[in-house]
Amino acid sequence: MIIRLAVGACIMVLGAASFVEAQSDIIFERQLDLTLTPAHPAPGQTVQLSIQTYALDLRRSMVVWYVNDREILRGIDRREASVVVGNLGTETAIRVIAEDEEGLVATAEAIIRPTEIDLLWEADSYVPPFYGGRTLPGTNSTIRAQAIARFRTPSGAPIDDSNIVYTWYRNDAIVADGRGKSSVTVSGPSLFGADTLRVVAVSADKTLSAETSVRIPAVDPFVMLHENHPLFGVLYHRSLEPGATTLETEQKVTAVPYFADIVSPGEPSLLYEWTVNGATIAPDPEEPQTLTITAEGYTGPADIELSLMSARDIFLHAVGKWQLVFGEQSRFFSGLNPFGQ
Amino acid sequence: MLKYQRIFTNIGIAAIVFLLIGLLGWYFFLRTQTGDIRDLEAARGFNISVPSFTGSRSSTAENIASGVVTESLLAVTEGQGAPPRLWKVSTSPIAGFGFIGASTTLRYVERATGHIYDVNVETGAATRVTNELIPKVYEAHIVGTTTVVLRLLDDTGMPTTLIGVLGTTTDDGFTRFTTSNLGTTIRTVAPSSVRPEIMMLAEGADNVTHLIRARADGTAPQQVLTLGVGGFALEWLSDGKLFLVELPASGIPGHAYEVVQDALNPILRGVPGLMVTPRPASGALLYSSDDGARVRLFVRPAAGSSITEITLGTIAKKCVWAPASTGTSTPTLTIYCAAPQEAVGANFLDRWLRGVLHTADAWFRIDASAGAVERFFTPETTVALDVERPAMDSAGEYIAFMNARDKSLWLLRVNE
Repeated sequence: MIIRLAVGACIMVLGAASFVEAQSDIIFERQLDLTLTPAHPAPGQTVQLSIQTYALDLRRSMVVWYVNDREILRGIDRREASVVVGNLGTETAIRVIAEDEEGLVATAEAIIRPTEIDLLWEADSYVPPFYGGRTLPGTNSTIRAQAIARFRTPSGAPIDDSNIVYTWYRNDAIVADGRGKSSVTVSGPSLFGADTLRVVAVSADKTLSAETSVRIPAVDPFVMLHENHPLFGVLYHRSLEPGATTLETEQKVTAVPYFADIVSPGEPSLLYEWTVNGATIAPDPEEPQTLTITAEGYTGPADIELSLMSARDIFLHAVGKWQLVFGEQSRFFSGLNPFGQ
Repeated sequence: MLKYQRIFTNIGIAAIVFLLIGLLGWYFFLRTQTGDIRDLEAARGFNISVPSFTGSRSSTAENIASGVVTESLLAVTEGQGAPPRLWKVSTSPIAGFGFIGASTTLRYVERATGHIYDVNVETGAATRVTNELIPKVYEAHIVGTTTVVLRLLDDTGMPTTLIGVLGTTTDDGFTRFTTSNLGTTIRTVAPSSVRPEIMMLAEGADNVTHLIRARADGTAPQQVLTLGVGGFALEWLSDGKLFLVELPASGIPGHAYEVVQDALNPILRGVPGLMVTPRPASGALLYSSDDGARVRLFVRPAAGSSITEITLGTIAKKCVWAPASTGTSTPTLTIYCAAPQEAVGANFLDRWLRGVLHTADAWFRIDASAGAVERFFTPETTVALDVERPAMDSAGEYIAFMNARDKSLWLLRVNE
């Protein structure tokens, strides 16, 4: 970020670069560009400082850097310096003076006030009950986001959200802004795409600012099968692995459409098409996500196929295939074989 | 005459039709009730071991019990000595567990029935505390000595939260257990380990989530703060510190905060696949990351100290801090971690959380100050333990944990 005359709120240029032409009595206000990287430093972070100007030939100029009025660097053509900023609420004053061989002088000043901002987000798509992971956006999802800004005054007092103006961008387009607007709900990325959600926070007096962004990729919703046990309920903690074997004569399995745009997997807008060994099985009207296979007197594989679509979301089309073997050796586990067989 | 005959005929036909409709309705009503009763009866018959279904084939749960565990791990009879070093406390799936205060009692809730059991970890003696049938409890938290938080699904499949309080009287040898329903808006519950209180994240109107502190019985709720997102794990430590950790996903940056009054103080920011296990009464912290390619474990021995990577590929939620050493002038910072014995591959966290992948763990002891790792227990090859929710007793002698493969409860004695 290049700072000219005035910069973002956390770095405030106090005096513009000046250029004094000694040969005449005319004083020109010219520009000395002071660049700080990162533009919004966090507490304790090292900030790279650099200058450039067309007013002087810096290659032949003595450059002196000051931090809080203490000289930290001096030399010909020393265009770059670095400084470690303090904690929240502190101010680090930067001053740089450049003077060429002819006595022409240019200066720039800035104040760095460290800030912090985090951007938290989650999608409103479906995950199974008690799922311990993040809800990611599938098709047609909505993103809920929360910015947590930590601004402090020089006295150390935290600045309340109501005194911070937030501007929210989704792929560079403003989607919301306002004083105290620290959270938003926006539409999620399109299928196979990714959105960049960005928030800029500026204190009401414009002395502090912070910015952050996140890249939110879309996830193609997928369906997984879990055993639906008569006593324990749906075993969400283990999915049906391909070629699983069961000793039961009857097996209930429940489909879980991860990251679909639904509230419940049983909602009427979802169309479940089940087939077992090629035969279409009409879904249970009350619980279409659950399939019961009865294998009285049968041992062998049951090839299960499920196609899931939504009447409300044309992009939702999840397909899954599993093989459940009704046999003598039980291996109804995913991952490693717990029996060591 | 013919006219009256027609009227009587019509009335007769109408009466028969009404009778048939009534009988049909009664049939469907009875069918529904029979289904409910069958579910309840099935659950009611479930005591310690899982019953088998009809026919010669056994139930899945019995297969779990008979297949996973060797007899030596199960055979503990009261009065016949201490349990084996690695002990399968419950053969049937459980919903949750916790040590009761500073005692050697381990309390757990059975998943199928909601029955509460107390186990003396030194003798192996198990006592069923309650007789109230609460089928299909998915998650349980032990709060203090008298309260249990139960999480299950309601008729519509939505998660609901029950607060259960143990009474002071017994009925047929069982303690009375009364529950109250907190509804379906609760996303997460964290119990206090020292006070009869709980912390909850509850969905509010307008897409906001409230962090609420309440008494263990759910009364006297106080709103701590309000957030625009609600996907957090809660960690409420014995020293009163409360942590909010964004729910993790492989490769997705997460943040962890300590809640101080009504503000969020950042602990870790932007760590992919973040999981955190903070240590009570200190600034020490264990956390793990999953960037999608591999899992890494880090420790910060004290607040403000530098962070060290531990050469153990596991997640922080498979680890537990040992309580502070007593009797020594320089207490050591010890962590016990279960770690997979094989490579877990890419996107481990996502696959593990969804039940696609299960691990076979060994136990390691970590000196957090030095960053040294030592394997101290490896289960027999016939026992595959995918450790989750490890907890240690206050004396630091036992680690209780659940096996994520089948939700069974296990106990490991630290020293031989």
